[in-house]
Amino acid sequence: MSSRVPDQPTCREIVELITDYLEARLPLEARTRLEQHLVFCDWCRVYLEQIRQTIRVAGAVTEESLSPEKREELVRLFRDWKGKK
Amino acid sequence: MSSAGFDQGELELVASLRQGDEPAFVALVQKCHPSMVRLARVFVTSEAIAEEVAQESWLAVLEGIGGFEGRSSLRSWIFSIVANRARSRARREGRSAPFSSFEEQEDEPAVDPDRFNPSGHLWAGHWSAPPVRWADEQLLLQETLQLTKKAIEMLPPAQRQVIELRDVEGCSAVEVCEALGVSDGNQRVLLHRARSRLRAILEPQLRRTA
Amino acid sequence: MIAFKWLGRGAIAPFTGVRWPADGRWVSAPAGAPEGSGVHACRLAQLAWWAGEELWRVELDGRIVERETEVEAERGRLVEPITAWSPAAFAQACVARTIAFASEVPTQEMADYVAMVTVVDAPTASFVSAVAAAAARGPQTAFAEERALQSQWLARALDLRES
Repeated sequence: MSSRVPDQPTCREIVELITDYLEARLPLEARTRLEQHLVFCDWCRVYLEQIRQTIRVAGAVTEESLSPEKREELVRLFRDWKGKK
Repeated sequence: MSSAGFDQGELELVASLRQGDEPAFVALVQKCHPSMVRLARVFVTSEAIAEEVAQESWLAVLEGIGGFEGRSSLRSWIFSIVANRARSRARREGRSAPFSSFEEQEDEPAVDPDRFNPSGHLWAGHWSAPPVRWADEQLLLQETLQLTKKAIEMLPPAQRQVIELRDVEGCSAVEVCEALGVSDGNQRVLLHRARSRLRAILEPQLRRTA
Repeated sequence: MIAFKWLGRGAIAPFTGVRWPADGRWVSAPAGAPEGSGVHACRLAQLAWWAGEELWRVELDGRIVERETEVEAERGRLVEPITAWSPAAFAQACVARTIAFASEVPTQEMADYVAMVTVVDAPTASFVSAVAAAAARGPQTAFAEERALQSQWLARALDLRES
């Protein structure tokens, strides 16, 4: 199919462009072609949404909160530094 | 959006630190320390060493705060200190992986090529095994978060650094380039690969529960 | 300028997820935003590239850039929905075109396009029949020309005019 319409991206090409698209770093023409593809390709729309969901899950990976012992260690470090200033 | 933009809150924090204001330091520590350990852990061989690197970094932050000019954000400055110290520490320990090298593999497709129709097919290059929608409710289940955490830890170091700073910590692209000393293009390629891998790892889990 | 805009159900912009105000308030691109971040819309000749759930007549203002398959303006507002829009009728028209191409060029490939176009939704039918046009007529310009013909069909079927 891509040989029939060479400037229309295939799904395989779309998935490689997805990060640049989300970063708003695709050149305008490539972005237009990508969005035109998404108009009819439900699967690539799902893929794009999955990348967005992946980003969201990564953002939800909570950090271990600082333990009181650790906080005290760092406060001691701070006071030492302050004392030597 | 430049991370070197005029940030009043940050300027005040920096001023407080310079004056030796302990609550300001504690607040910053609460906010940044676990992320610093996480970042250091990408480079060094153990959690304990990562903790040491993070602590040493705090000293470097305090000693350097007088000269901090605000050309980058405070956060990316702190992260760059951590990254540099962690790299040196890793080198001293003889860790061989070249963390600042561009990438491990030349070519890493975002999706297994078998998921697309081969050339010669009427719809060559289109999905043959398309992705199936994930339910949003599944995303924040404990199992999903655990899997995500593990998956990120297993990424190649360069990819892990970038996705941790960008997507886990929420740093901007500019901040990551400043912190890791990589170009925007490099950062984007690594981010692309990291996110693609993470999605692929999540997929069987999230498909199952959908 | 009067133009047309395809939106998702509930006047949701398909790529940003932003809901367009139905009361016709002006929506502006942020000042100094990079190329491509303005309000996107279609001239009549560009309709078929962007078929979606809802079609709206819109008014555009400010600096307007005309491109091959869309226009971009600094400001836009919804004027009214085109309630006559029928995805099923459009899809059917694309099916008919594909069948016509297949009878011009009776190959297995063309038969495959016919099989597909009859079972997909309107935007996909639009794409498949344009690919079929390229396969039947030659790739370089036939795809875009078919999209232009589809756009004409839509403009006529929906009795659309632009000022």
